[in-house]
Amino acid sequence: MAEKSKEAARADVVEFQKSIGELREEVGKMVVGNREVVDGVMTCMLAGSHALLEGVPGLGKTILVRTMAEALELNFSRIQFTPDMMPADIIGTTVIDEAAGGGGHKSFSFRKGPIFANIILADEINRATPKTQSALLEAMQEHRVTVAKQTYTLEEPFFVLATQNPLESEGTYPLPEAQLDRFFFKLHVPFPNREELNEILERTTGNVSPKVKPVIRKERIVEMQKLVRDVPIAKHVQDYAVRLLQATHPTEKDALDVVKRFVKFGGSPRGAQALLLASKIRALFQGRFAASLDDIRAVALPALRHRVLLNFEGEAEGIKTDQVIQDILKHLPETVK
Amino acid sequence: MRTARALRALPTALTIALAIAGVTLAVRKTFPAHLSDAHARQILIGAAALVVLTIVVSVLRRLAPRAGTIALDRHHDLHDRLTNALAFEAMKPDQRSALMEVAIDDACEHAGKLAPGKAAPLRLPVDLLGSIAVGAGVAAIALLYVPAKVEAPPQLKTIDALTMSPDDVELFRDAAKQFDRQDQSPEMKAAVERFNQLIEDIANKRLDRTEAFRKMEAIERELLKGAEADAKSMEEALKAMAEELKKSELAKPIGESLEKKDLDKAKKDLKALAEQLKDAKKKPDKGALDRLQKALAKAAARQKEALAAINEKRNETREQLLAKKNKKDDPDGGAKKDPEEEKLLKKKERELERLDREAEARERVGRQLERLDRELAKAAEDLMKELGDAAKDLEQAAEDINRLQEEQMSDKEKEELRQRLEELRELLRQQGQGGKQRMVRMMKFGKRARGGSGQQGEKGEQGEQGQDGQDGQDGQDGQDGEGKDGQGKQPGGKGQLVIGPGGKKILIPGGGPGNMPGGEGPGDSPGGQNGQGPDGPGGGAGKGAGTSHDGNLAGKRTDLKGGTVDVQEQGLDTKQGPSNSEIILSAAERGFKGTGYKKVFTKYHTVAEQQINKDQVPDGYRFYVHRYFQLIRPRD
Repeated sequence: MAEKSKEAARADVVEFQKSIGELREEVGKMVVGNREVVDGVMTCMLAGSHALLEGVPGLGKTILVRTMAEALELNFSRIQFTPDMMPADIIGTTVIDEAAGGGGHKSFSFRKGPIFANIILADEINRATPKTQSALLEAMQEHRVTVAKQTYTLEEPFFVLATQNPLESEGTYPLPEAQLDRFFFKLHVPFPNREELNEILERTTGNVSPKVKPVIRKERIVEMQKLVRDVPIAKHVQDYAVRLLQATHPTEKDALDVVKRFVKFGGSPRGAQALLLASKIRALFQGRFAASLDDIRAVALPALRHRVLLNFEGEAEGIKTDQVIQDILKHLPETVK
Repeated sequence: MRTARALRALPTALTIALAIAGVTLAVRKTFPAHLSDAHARQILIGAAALVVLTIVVSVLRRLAPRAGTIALDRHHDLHDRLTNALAFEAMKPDQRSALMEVAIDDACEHAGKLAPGKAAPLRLPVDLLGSIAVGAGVAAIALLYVPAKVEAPPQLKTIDALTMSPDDVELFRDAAKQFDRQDQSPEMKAAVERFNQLIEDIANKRLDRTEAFRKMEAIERELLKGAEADAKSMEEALKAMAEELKKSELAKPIGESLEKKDLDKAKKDLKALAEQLKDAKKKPDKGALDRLQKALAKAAARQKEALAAINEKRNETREQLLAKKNKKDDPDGGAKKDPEEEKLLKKKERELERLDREAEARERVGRQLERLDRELAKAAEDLMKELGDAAKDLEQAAEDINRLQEEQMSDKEKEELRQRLEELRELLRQQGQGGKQRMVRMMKFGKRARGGSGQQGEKGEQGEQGQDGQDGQDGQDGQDGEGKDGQGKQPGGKGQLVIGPGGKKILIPGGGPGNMPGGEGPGDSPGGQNGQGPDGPGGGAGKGAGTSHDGNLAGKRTDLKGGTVDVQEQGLDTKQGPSNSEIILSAAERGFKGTGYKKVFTKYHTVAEQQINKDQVPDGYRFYVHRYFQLIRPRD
């Protein structure tokens, strides 16, 4: 029995790695470069959580999400957030329906909003008012929405991918900490390098446009999400993740000076969960059967950068949370007695 | 891995130990007194022990859990496969998931290719180069030769003694001698003694500057004590007495003399009055005697009245002051402090102090005048009783005035001594400013002033000889016989250039004495004739024996019964003696010696003293005039 399970488990991991390879390949048809962002988005999806993308306009954020939706054979909705947007514009609303054939019979029916899809692209989420932003909270955390005392469960897999434009701050509503914490990763979309830019131009300025075919079905995604949670994690790796999270807190006894001086709040327990899940996914991406310390270190930045909040002095000094986390990683011992 | 850890810790421990050793060596070599050999060795042993201890601790201390497998994983890029496998292996089999088992298998697959030696290599750390550099520095310090400091023996504390030129010391010794009289008051005697001691201490270099000035101040303070106030009180007392005495025509001259502070005349007048009273023929009438009696009685009582008035005022002021003070100390009244009242209170306090001083001075003067008052009162009483003892009492009063006069003289001496002290202080102050160079100049000057040879020793000797010749001229051109010695010794030339003060060449006219042949004139006749030199009549008799005899001796016998007639003969001024300027010039060259110079000095000094006493001359300038004459005073 054990022998059979071992083989199955090994096969599952191999199959996982193969599926991810195919997905990467399909996405790569449309998205040039940005391997880390693509992997990050896939990680969020496999962890059953959501991602926040930050980058200037025109870097292919929408294309990435659309392509993934196509390759995964999932429903895709794009919501462009604006300041006058209302929660009903996202969730849906109840309308009066007149019965067919007349007779004057009227009834209320719920018309689903764009959130009822597998992949949601919440474009420029920080443009909407906090009221509208909070409409996403229940959906993101519970994968369901409640309208007029009626709860509607969202179809799995459900994955929100929000974008933020860091250049414009006029007329924006920064996401509250509670909502930020609900994002599994915060990914920075970098500007493409010269080679990537040339490739983008070649692909987008000709008559031939690549076609994306679905490579992974919905059910397979759910299976993959299950496998992720099966990946074992050794005690010392988990302890390392815990110590890493603790090290982000300025109130901790052994906190670094940079943390004590510039950090207002450290990461929440969701941060530790994100570290472990993401490290498991990374191990699977690489065909390994258990997460390692390297995996934790690799995912620490996207998992913690939006969860570590700087104080006024840190903001004034122009300190980036990435610097703080890197300092912590540099000084944190791998094992302790 | 433990050895590697020890190697990693070695540079730090070694650098610290070497730095300690370097500092220890440097201190030992530079300040051997502060760090003994034994202590230095102990510190060096301690530094070596630090290195050894670091290595031992590094080797023996336990490694972190799974440090070995983590190192292997890292070196072989196994992504914790081995560490994870060991962790899963440590779990119970039933707790392991399928993926854990797969992970263990996976690790086992990779285990065959492991190279633990490479995973934990024994490499010398790069930091060791720094330690070696520090070690080189320590070696350099160790080889460095630092010459041992020779400890100088501790010097005995000496005072920076005050120096005064011997010439000035002599000057002040002479001054002290002048004050030394038998009939001095005890306090004056004590002051003179202290002044003498001060001069001796300075001469023997037993005082430093501060101590000398402190002693001078102490003497001066003693001298000044109440002197001014007493003099004023005495003056007032005598004036009051004079006013009363002037009311009687018999005592009027005495009153006037006292008013003028002419105690000598007052004494004489008193004696004259006593004589008048004794003499039955000149005895005044009854009315005059009554008036005299009243005047004498009032004069005797005046001093007591004045003192009583002062004491009364003093008591009154004291009472007022006490009343005001009580009012001030009163807690109720204290709340409202009137600044005007405060001011008034202070004024009263000052007034009381002044009255105290005044009463004290009066009492002192009263003690001095007590006998005189008593004698005057007794004279008045005797006059009233017509006992005839009044004259005796007045004579006694004259003696008292004589005593007062002597006391006043003592005050004058005090003032003179004080002036000497002032001069000494100014002199020391100037010497302090002039430094050693001034002292050297003063020594040279003193030597030259005594006619000793200075830098121009040989010429000085010649000057000395020439001076002798002049001494001869100072007498009566040969007639007094004085000149013979001088002329006989050294015939003068026609004049010679000598080096005067400041190195200036001065022409000394030597024609007179030089040309005079030794055998001529002087001594030929007995020196009975008074001569007249250029500066006045020659008075001295000739020293030398005459070569011929008086013709009268060989002639008639002296008629002893015959009346003698005094004949005043005028000496002949031949204008051959030296003039004042010549004497001064020769003194500048040969020293301030000789009778001629003494005369000139006395004449000039007197004129100068009269002038500065007459004119309003500032004290500072007065000092310079005195100093000038002190420096050029005749030396014996």
